[in-house]
Parts: sequence; C-alpha cells; structure tokens
Amino acid sequence: MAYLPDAMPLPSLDEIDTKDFWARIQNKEFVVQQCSDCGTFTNPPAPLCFNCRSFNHHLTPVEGKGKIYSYIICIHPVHPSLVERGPYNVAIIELPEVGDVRFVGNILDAADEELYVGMPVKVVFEERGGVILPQWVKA
Amino acid sequence: MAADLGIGEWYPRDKTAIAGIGEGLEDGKYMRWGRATKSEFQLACEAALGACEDAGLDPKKLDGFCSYSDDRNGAPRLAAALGVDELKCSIMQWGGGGGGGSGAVMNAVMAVATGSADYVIAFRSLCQGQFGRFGQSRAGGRVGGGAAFSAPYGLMTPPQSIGAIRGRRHMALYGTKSEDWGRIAVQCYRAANRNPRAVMYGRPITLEDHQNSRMIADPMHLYDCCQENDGAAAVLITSAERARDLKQPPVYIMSAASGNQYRAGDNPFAAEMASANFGPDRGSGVANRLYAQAGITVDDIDVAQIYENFTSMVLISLEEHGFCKVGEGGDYVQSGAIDWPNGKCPINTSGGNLAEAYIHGFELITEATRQMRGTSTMQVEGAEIALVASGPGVTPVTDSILRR
Repeated sequence: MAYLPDAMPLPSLDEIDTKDFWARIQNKEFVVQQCSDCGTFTNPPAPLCFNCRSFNHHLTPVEGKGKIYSYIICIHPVHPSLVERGPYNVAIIELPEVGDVRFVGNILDAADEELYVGMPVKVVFEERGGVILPQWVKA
Repeated sequence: MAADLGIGEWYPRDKTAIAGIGEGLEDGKYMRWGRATKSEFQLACEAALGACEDAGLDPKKLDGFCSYSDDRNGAPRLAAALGVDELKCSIMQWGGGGGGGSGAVMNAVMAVATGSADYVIAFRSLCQGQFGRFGQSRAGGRVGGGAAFSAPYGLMTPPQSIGAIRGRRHMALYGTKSEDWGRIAVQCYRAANRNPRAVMYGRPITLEDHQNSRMIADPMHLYDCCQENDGAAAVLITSAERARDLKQPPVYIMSAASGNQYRAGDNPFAAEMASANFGPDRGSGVANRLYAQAGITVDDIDVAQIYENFTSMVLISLEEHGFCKVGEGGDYVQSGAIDWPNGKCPINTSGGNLAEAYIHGFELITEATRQMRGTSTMQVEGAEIALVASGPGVTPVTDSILRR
C-alpha cells in the first residue's frame, strides 16, 4: 500500500518540460536536471538554466541523500480521499550534493515525533496507481 | 531618515488618493463561504457603486478597474454593467494571490498618475461558496506544472504550503512559538469584536482558545488560519486634486510597491523548491523601496494592516517590514507592540482576513482608509500613516502606504 491513497493526484508524465525526468523516475533512476553548459542543477525541470540561460541540459543521476528543510503533519483532510487516511507528513527535502535543490515528499518510515529540521533522509521509489514517485526514508 | 534608493522626483508620492470605499455585503456583514445569496459579480458591482456613493461620484465617470488573483469579475464586464462611458484602464495583477491587493492599488495609481485614467476602482470580489474553497482540493487524476511536484504528496492547500511549512522553518531557526502566533490571532479577533461587518463579530477568542483549537497542519492551529468567505471590497482612486473636490477627505497614497525574492517561483506550492530561503526572508527589498518612495521609515507608521493568510506569515511579515529584526518576531508580538490601543503599532484593526472576512486582503485596504479618516471601529488615536502589507509568502507581494 502506498503512503497516500490512490485517489490522490498523480503527476502528468507527458508534459514537454518534465517528461524525460518522469521517464527516468519510472525506471527507478533518481535524476536531477543539470545545465550542460554551466553545471547548475534545478528542480522541477525547466526549459532553460536560470543561471546562464542555456537551453542545453541533461538529467544527471544523483545519490539522493538529503536533509529535511521543513516539514508538517497534515491533520485536516484537504482532499476527499484523505478523510479516511488520517494524519500524514509532508517534508521539503534539500539535496546538498546538487546545490541544495529541493524536492517535496513524504518521509515513509518516520513517526511524527521523529521528524526534525535538518534530519538526514534518502530517496526511495514508491508505486501508486501505476506511477513511480520519488519518496524518502530516514538515512 | 528614509533610505535613498535612487527613487526619483518622478515618484507620484501623494499625487493620488483614495476618494471612496465600498463593500459587497449582505445585511451589513461579510459572509461565511456559501452564505451569500447574491452573485459574486453583483457583490463586485455593489462594492464599486458603494465607493462611488461614498465619494459622491457619478459612476458613469469611472474609467478604470484594477484587480488581482485572476478576479473573475473582469473590467470589461463591470464597465458594461455599470454603464461607464469609456474603459481606459483594465489591469490585472499577475500572480501572487492575495499578495496582489496593494498591487491593484499600485496599478490604479500608475494609471491615474500618468493621466491614462481619472477615476479607477481597485477591488476584489470573492465568493468561495460559489466557486470553490481555497482550503480544499478536489484534484484527481493527473496534475501538471509545478503542482506535479507537490500535490501528489498531499501538499495541496495554502495552510500547508504557506502557513505551516514556512512557520515550522521559522520555529526551527529562531525558536518562535505557537503562542507567539496566538497573540496575533487574539488581536485580530478582538478587533473583529468591535466591527459589526466582521464575520467573527461577537465571537472573541483567548490565547487558550487558540492553543486548544484543532490542528490543521501541525504546527498550525485552526485559529492561525484565515477564514473562507463571500464578499467584495473596493476603493475609488483618483488624483489628489480631484479627490479634494469630492465628498470625503482624501486619503493620500504615499507609496505602493511590488516585489519578490529571487527565484520565488510562480506558485506557493512549487516556490519552496526554487528560492534560496522561502519563508523567513523573502529577501526582495520591497519594504525598503516602499518606505523610500514614501519618504518615511518604519517608525513613522502609526497603524498596520498585515495580510493574514496565516499568523505565522504575519510574524514573518512584521520582521520583513522592519518592525523588529529577523528572528525577533516572537518577542515583538509578545511585547504587546501589535495590540490596540497601547501598542507601538496596532495591527489588523478590523479583524482582517482572520476575523473580519477573507476578501483576499482587500478589506485591509478599506480598513487602512478608515483609519486615515478616523472612522475605524478600532481607531488608533491620531493615526496619520498606515501600512498595508499584502499577502506574505506569495509571488510577488505588494505593499502600500496611506496617509491622512
């Protein structure tokens, strides 16, 4: 069973600017977009580099070791499918290995009281509704 | 001394004024979401006409409309419905949600100061009961854009992505406490309790009520959150000269400014992933520019209306506007500085988004105008300069400064 219900939204896998990223994720390869000219990383993937404005970029495999930048415990159900789910965490994860690029995710194996700002986490893959999502566990 | 940021003589400080204010209410009150029996569009028309009546202006003379956050009640539709002669100014502020409130004022100022239009309505009409609540998402299936990187994880609404997750970061960095946020909520509810327009009129809360209220997204309680409402609010902006010929004493617009942090992103759900330091310091310098344009410092401000999407963001906004140092917001609110009547600079004197009504922060602009007229239900005695800080935590944010 996935961390959140199947009726929760899933990412579009076919948008022009992000489809290559999601295709690699579907293969369970953790990648971050990197500028082919100046090396700057960015997430979400974008058509060009905000640093040097180059349109040349590629997806770089990275280890996926990060730390929690901030987190919350969501209690009020903000979506109909969450009424039965009960509280869940959402964290912003910062990846120092790629210039502090951030991802949003759930920490799949942490109790609420274990979470703290700065907590080390690592990427894992979770399947929900036939889609693979990057997710996070305690490191 | 105000900072010299190269703001030239060209800046139209005090050259424009608010000549009238109006609201879209029912039975003299704003409404809880879903309670309005009139359409959102009718409430927009009533707010605009109310501002004209307050000013003593024939609505036929209106020639511009400015709003924000993709307000559904567009200028061409309003111009036709109100029978105005010619629509010379039709400006939508892109982005920023409620952060665009003072942006609508800024755009009206620009239109009037350049002579592009003479009598411009800046407004917001919002009936969440008619078009969907901000605090709920029904998204299903597949989501695209920036939301593809946050909604699948359950980060879907502003209380989570603006209020709680940034608030938590501020707590972790600076030791800010939930009780600090509670002081802000209590002041807003006290103000609403003196204001018959307020949805929370007659429903005061204590700090204990705040602490005991249910968690929405830990660390944020129910009373840290704005309401979801139905209603409209508008101001009539014209040149200072024309305003002096109208019915009300002019309230001069000293300054209005818009800004954002580097790489803040196009929505608060994706923004977290791009900007260097999203919450505690939006880093845009907008407050400094605002003060320089007005030729004042923060110490000159007598009363402030600080947009409360969430109390955590009010505290951060107070820091960003220089009322205290970054990281000292908790001590600042605990000192009583924001309280009426004795605080150094009382805030949110109508109850604001938290307790008057969430008209996307435009009710803060009508309230700042009332303070400058001396007609607030929580009047700050002798107040001469008012700040409106619109929508912290979004991109861009906007601010305005009014004077008597």
